Amino acid sequence: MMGRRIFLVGSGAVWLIVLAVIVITAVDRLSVPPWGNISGDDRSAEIAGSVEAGQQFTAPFPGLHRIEVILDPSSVQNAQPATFRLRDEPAGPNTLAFGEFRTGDIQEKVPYSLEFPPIRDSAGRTFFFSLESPQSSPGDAVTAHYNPDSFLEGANATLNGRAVSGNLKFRTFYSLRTRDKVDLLLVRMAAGRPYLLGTKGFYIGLAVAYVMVLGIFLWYVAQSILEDERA
Amino acid sequence: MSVVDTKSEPGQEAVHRQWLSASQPRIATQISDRRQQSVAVVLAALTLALLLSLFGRWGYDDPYITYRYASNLLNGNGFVYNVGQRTLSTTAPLYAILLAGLGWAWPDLPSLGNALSALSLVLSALILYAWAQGRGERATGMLAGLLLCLWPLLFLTFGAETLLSTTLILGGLWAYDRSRTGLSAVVLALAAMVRPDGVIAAVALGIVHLVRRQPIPWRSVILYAGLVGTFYTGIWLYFGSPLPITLLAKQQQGQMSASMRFGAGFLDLAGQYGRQPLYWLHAILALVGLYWVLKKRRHWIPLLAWTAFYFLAYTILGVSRYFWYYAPLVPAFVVLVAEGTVALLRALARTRLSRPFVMLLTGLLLVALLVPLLTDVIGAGWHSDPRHEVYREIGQWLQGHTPPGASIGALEVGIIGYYAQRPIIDFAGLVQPEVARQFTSATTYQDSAAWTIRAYQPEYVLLHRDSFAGLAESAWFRSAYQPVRDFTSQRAALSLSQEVLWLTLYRQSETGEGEGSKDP
Repeated sequence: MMGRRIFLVGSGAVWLIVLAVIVITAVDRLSVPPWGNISGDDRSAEIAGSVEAGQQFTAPFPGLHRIEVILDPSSVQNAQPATFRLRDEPAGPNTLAFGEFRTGDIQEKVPYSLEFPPIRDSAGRTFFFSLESPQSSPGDAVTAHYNPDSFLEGANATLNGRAVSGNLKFRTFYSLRTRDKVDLLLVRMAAGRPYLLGTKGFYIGLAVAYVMVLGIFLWYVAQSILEDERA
Repeated sequence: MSVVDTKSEPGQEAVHRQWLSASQPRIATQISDRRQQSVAVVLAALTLALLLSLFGRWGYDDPYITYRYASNLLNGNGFVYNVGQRTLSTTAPLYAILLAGLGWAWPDLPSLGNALSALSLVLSALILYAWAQGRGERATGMLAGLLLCLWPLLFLTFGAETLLSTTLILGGLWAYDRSRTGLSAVVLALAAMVRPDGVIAAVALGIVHLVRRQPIPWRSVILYAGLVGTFYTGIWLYFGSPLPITLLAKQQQGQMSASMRFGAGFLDLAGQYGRQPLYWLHAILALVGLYWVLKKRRHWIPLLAWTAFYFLAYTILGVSRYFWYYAPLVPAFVVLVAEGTVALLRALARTRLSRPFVMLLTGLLLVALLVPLLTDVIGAGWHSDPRHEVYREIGQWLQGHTPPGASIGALEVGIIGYYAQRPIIDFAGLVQPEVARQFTSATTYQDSAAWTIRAYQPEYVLLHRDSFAGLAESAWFRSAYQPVRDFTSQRAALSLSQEVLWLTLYRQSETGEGEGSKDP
């Protein structure tokens, strides 16, 4: 009797471990797409002298770790240094990430990319990035692609710190941990549902109950296969 | 051998004890059966809840055409897609009527469609379970039902009539297996009314019945023919044709070089599954199961016959491939996998291997069968069709910003048409059969759009930026239409698709001159 109990408990434990491995493996394969504005072939903002071209946006996911911006180098004759700065707000003192490059190194149709350690609590937070090249002269500078008609929730381009309509052509990238992905999945399931159905706990409870009953069901399947054979 | 005097009191007690000991295994088995059934029912309920949680908001374009029929019916506009135009552009007339009927109580038709699909899937699993159990094959039924409930392809059809039709067909075949031919006739007739290709199930069953040389149940045959005949005669009288335009459209689409036909699509789908090694296990076990079914478990023959005839019919029809066409193949496949698994494990149990070891192997095999399914279920719940959000946004924008009678020309008109509630002109020929007739092997959707716009001159045109770039930049189009605004799937912050859609809405220029006539 004791042996049977140990066997049952052992089987249950193995089942839960296997399930956990399946879920973690499955969730780790998932990713979120880059987010940003992909339009902006018509207009461009020249980054020269005192001009600071920027973009404010609200990150939709946690784990912001890369920003790409499309720059056009076709007017550059004398390469000059330029800076890329990521901050909480346009006038904010807190620089979250900083990049320096030479305008002559920018290649056509290849986005300039700034990578930094993932910002874990980025979901729902507002960020601002800016591009400057004080030593570049007008007519001899990179330009940022810009679309005045582009609309993104919680986002807009800026010129010298002032908001303007439309957006730069940019994309943001996110690196999510397993727990972030599970949380995102739960948030999506609960979103817009009433009462208990609108809580993440309900779906956690449902998943746990499902796993338990599935385990018992599988046990019965195995038992049926072998016992029906005996009968 | 002991002799018991049953007339004496101790003797009666001995008889009672003997009876008790003899009946104990039977009672134990009954309790065990009840427990298993209870667990199966609880699992079915939890599966239903989980499916609705994960896929309750799932949506893809085609079912929305049926939703629009249901919505128009519900709102008193008639059983039509475009108000005033009696064309049958839905493949699911009875499903549309059902949605309209239930829509009184549950007006959100997309979520109602998803709920019906989830319910149908769980019912299908329970039918397989009950069917197998009735044949003394409980383990096969439990496993087949479980695999069916977790098969990822089926979740992608949520909202459409596919799973309801499949459930009715399984129900009809099961009723036939239980010699309830009258019930079978009624349920299969309902399946044929939900989707016309449900007729294939009755034809397959009829052929199986004749091959078995059993007497023809004329009453059931007449009942089936009467129900289906009456329904489609009504459809014919109302729409002028018993067959949906979509059949012609999808056959014509199948001719286009850009399209893949059903047969080639099946191989492509099998290749996709084959890239995940654990699915090979399902394929191998299905082959074992096929051998076993043909040899010993012939009660599944009607199911296999329907699946084979369905596959053959779609291949012969030469329709372009759509993922939901492959969903009805799944029930037979999971039954074969379950039969193969049970046969293999029982063969193993007959060897000299110790019972705990066999139990361990059984557990491992069951887990190995479930791993790719559970992984794909999570993946399917994570990703959403990028078109869903952006098409809905477009439809709602059109509904709010265009006059009620403004006609809209677009490719993929389901979601847009449902939310826009405007007259729709479809570049894929699902609404106007004349458009479908333009498709040849050399035609592209851009050609079809150009022809349709010239012929029908819709007041608004929606074009996908990449695939219709040539048309959007052509001189005649630029003179006839001007851009109104762009729509992109990037706007939906929680859209988890890697694919980015970008569409532009154009309005007919007041100064532009169309080249075609309104009446093609």
